[in-house]
Amino acid sequence: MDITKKICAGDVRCASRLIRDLEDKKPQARPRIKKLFPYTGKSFIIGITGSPGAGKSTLTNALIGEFRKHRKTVGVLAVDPTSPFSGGAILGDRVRMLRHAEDEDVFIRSLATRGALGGLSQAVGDAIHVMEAMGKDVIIVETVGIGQQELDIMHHAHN
Amino acid sequence: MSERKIRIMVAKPGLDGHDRGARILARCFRDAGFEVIYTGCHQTPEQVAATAIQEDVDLVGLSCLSGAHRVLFPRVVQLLREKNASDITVIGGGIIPEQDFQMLYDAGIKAIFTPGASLDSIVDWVRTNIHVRD
Repeated sequence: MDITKKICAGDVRCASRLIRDLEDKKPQARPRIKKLFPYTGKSFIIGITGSPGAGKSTLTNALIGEFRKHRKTVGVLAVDPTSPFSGGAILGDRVRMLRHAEDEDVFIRSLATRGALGGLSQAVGDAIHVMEAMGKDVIIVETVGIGQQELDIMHHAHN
Repeated sequence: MSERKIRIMVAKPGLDGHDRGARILARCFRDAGFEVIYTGCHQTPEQVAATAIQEDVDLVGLSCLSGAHRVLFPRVVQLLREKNASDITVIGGGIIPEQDFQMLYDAGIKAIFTPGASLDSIVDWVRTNIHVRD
């Protein structure tokens, strides 16, 4: 089965690998995301942003719970900052969402900013498309803790 | 320009709450330039395996200081195998008696680091043994 079909059928392994390839800017990822494009555009995309410690992850966790009560499938993209010194990152948003880890209809993916300045990662737009193609009803994008102007999320989210 | 980054999940399965070691290791991995998915305490092996796949990590580092490693560590390896993700390497650390090492290696744990292991030695092990796919 080819990658497009697998992702549209909701294959998490395949989807998370494609998101990784998109983050790493692998050349093979571009044609793959292009093939997925016809299957995108049906999800409702919610952006969660706020200053550090405001409760973004906790709110995301609560929202996942509410959507699951209504039997909606959920995708979450949680962005955390990359260290400008080492290039590494600690992605810890999932700690607040542990109770959904085993729910197969909830796909949570952490992304590091990797130097992007708008509170998101460059791969966020593509990663949203991958989750749309998987058929997620709702996609929640959680930004890094923002300061005065990291508002790139407004270009991606419906609400 | 494409660049692969090593992604590591640090997790504490089971009921043990001693997470200082896991937190220090997460920070040390970040400082070494890896992306670390830190998931905290009190997880089931099922949660660990599901998260490792959702995050497409190369390595799962399990920490356990309660003595339950003989059950929990092999279970994580087994679940990853069942989900066709046996390419994800699993290593362990914590209070692990030497007589348990062989049993864990046999179960598929690739390395074990106990108290006293230097952070450098762990980072070196990752750099030497983890190769990200193309």
